[in-house]
Amino acid sequence: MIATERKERAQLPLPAEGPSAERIAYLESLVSQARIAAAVFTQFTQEDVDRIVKAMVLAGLEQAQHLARLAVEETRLGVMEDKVIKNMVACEFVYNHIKDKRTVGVIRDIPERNVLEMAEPIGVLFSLTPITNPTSTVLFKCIVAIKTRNAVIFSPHPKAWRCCAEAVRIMRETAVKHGAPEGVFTCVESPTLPDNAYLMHHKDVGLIDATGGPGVVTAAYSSGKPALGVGPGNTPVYLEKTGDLNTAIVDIIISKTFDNGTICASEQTVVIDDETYDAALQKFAELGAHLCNEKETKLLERTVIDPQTGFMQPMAVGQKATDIARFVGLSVKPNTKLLIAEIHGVGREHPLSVEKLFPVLAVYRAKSVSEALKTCIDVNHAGGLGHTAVIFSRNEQVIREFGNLINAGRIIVNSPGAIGALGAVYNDLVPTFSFGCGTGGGNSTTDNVNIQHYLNIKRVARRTQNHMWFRVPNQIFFNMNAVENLSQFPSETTIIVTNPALEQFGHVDIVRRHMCPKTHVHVCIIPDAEPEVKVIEQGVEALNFYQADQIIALGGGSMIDAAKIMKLKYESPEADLEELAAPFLDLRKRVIEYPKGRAQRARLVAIPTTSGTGSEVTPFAVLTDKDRGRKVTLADYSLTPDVAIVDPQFVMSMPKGLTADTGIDCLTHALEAGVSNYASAYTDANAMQAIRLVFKYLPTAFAHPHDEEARCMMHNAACIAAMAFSNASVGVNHALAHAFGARFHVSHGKANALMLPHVMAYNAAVPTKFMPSPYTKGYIAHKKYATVADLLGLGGQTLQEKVEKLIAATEQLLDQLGFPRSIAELGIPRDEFERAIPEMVKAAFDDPSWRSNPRMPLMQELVELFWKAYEGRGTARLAAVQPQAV
Amino acid sequence: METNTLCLKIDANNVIADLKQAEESLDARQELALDFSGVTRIDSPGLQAVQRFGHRAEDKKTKVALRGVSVNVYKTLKLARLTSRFSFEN
Repeated sequence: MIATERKERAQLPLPAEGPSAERIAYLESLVSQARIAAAVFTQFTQEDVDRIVKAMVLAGLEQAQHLARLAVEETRLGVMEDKVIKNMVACEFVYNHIKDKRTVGVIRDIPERNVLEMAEPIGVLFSLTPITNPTSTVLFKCIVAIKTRNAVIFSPHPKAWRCCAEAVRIMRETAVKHGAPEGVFTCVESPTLPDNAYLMHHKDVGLIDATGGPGVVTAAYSSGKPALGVGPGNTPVYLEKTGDLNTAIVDIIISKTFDNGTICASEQTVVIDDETYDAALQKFAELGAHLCNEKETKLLERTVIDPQTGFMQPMAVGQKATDIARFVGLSVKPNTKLLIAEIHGVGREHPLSVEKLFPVLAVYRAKSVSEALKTCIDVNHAGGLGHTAVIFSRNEQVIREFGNLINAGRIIVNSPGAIGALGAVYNDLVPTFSFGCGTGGGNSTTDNVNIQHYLNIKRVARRTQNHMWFRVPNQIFFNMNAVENLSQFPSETTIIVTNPALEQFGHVDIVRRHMCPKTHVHVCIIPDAEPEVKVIEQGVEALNFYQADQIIALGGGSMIDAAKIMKLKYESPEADLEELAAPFLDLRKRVIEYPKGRAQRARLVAIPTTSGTGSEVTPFAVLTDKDRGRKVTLADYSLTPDVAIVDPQFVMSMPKGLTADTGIDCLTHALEAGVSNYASAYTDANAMQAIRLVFKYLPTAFAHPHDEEARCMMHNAACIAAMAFSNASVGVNHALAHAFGARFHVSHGKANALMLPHVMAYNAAVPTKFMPSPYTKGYIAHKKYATVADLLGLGGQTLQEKVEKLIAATEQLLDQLGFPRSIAELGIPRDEFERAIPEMVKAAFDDPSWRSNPRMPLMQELVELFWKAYEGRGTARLAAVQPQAV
Repeated sequence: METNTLCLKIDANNVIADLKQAEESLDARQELALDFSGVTRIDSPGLQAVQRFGHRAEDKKTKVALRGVSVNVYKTLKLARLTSRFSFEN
């Protein structure tokens, strides 16, 4: 991009006046033709466009010399022979890159992601082309546009209009002759700033592709249209001391003299290490460069750089070195290719440090790598951000450092900048005549613009079958006296984590009796409550002191949870429990990961003494942080015990209240896992069986605590339900119960019982808001409840009847177990409950338990559920009578 | 002026001429149907002819229905902003 364009196009965003009515009619006719052509083009196949593209490329190659000659005659810039090469590159190299690429219909199939990429043309493009590379840019854009089935309205630089119009004519006639729609390419006659502004804002123009200076780019991006704006550069070159001097000097001369330096990616300032500086200059001189002395440099900079603006003078652009020398008044050899001037800094006080699109090159002697890199950064920031940079070096570390420091879309290594940046000649960059300069250059891309930028790429994303899982401990031993299996687990030192009562009952002795005889056993007595941080620390201290290789957790859920956390800290002392408790939505995508590959220092054997939590097979553990007054829930499959021993002898003496509480906890686990969005055939099998066992055996276990079969089956049911919810998770019932239980100090089982019928009715009704879930197809919660009703033989003809009967059976069970049937019955005053509601709703909504609930709870719905639980009996059935329309 | 709907078949190879002929019926009718079921692809001149026909029909206040338009041709008409001038029947 050159100064003439800067001046002429800088005001584009704010034209003094709009086009005349007559001119508007003309511009509208161009848009109309292009719109019709673009519409027709959408019906073309890949074969259609490939056939047309090939014909256009051949025509472009045939006319390359003709167009180059026209360009030089009209613009008076550059070298005819080089413009021929540019035209040929624009056709042949671009064709070679795009010929086998798909741009119609399906362009890419990614089966492993279940995604298809499909092409959608943009439609009508408005394209501004520069004076410096006029015909090659037109050829390039026409070929790329046809390949992508777009129509283009061209607005060439006014001083390159004739040659561009001729290039457009050749491309259009060839394309149409081979089947392209009429009007696919048009060229604005004698384009003006108001014309350009009008077209940039036209509703039917889909994309502006502006190759030019900052004015053009700014106008394009200010139009409100999607735009590709490609602006000026100022290419720094680092000639590092390990670089091959012979290659470097020849490459720089090739690039800087190519078309008399009109390519904006060409070298502007070469920073040379002190060690090779003199040799490099000598080489330049040997190969035809004139090294300016101090006086000549002053003359040169005064002449070719505008002292007012600091930009290059238009008269110098694209001129030969000898012509510039003559104009400046320098005496040079007739075959001089390049004028080289030494600079000692970058910026306005060093005029030659800016972009110079003619064969004048600035050189800078750097005393160190650090100085060289800093100077390159300065040049890069003096008008070249995002564009191109060049390095000659054999030092990979320096190359990478250069790449890291310089903000350029193309960093060309050991090759000529201009031709290197065009791509496909010296490297494998995408061939282009349009350099994206990233945000540094006010552009939206740093790419070499090509077909991908002329397409809307549509992604057809099919629903993926997410992997699911079913993870449980390796070994589960169950039924009466299952504890005998402990003997098969050798251990030198075992720590039994338990509570005082269980030791008193003699449970610890039973466990000891069945361990390997040579095992050293130590008992760690901890309070029978949710474990505290301090308790965990003491336990870990004991594990380390005795170097335990086995931990036996004997107790209820709290005891087993404590042992899980002790094991975690024993094996991964660095584990931060607070951090590990960070919230997450999907276990597999969580931000915080649990320590991986930690050494298994101790086997964890869990022996439950209640029939409810199922902690012996779950990956969860709850910790109380008393100092901060909060609970911390840990969840990871690495927490799951290695062995579970589900022996009913340890629950035979469970009190009635605890039997009921834990039994309903177990039922809630199974019912929630059954309707969970993470439910699978594997978890369903467990959930359904657990529900069946609870309905059959819990009343007996409650009424006849010494009934061995009932105790055994309830103990199994708790473990089986836990296997289901370990993998399918729970739901909104648990979220409500946690919030309510914590606020009013109500046991977990009782809190669950108070919510359960209401939550079942809630989940069975048509949701106000469906829960997004890739795992389920359609809404099936009510159907799952109906399946449970069938399993229990409750009768009913319709889904609705079956759901109602299941709720009724659940209520009947709660009655049998003597549960309070409303929160009011607990003696909690209505006003106190009302005051607590906001806090409880907040806590319930923050609770991760409901994330797998089939119905997404709204805050207001949580409020209503709390009130239903407060009012109690009857409200659940009323809710379930809503029509089942899903 | 006749009020019953006349249906004219548009030949895929003769879109321009058929539309020209259809224009002659515009004076005499309030409603007209054009059967596009045989047209699977439309070129620029054809599209321009549809555009021109649409203008004429609008001038004459004749309601024009296009019948059996393929999805590809429909999308082409849509992109050319011509669908609002017609009604479409399957």
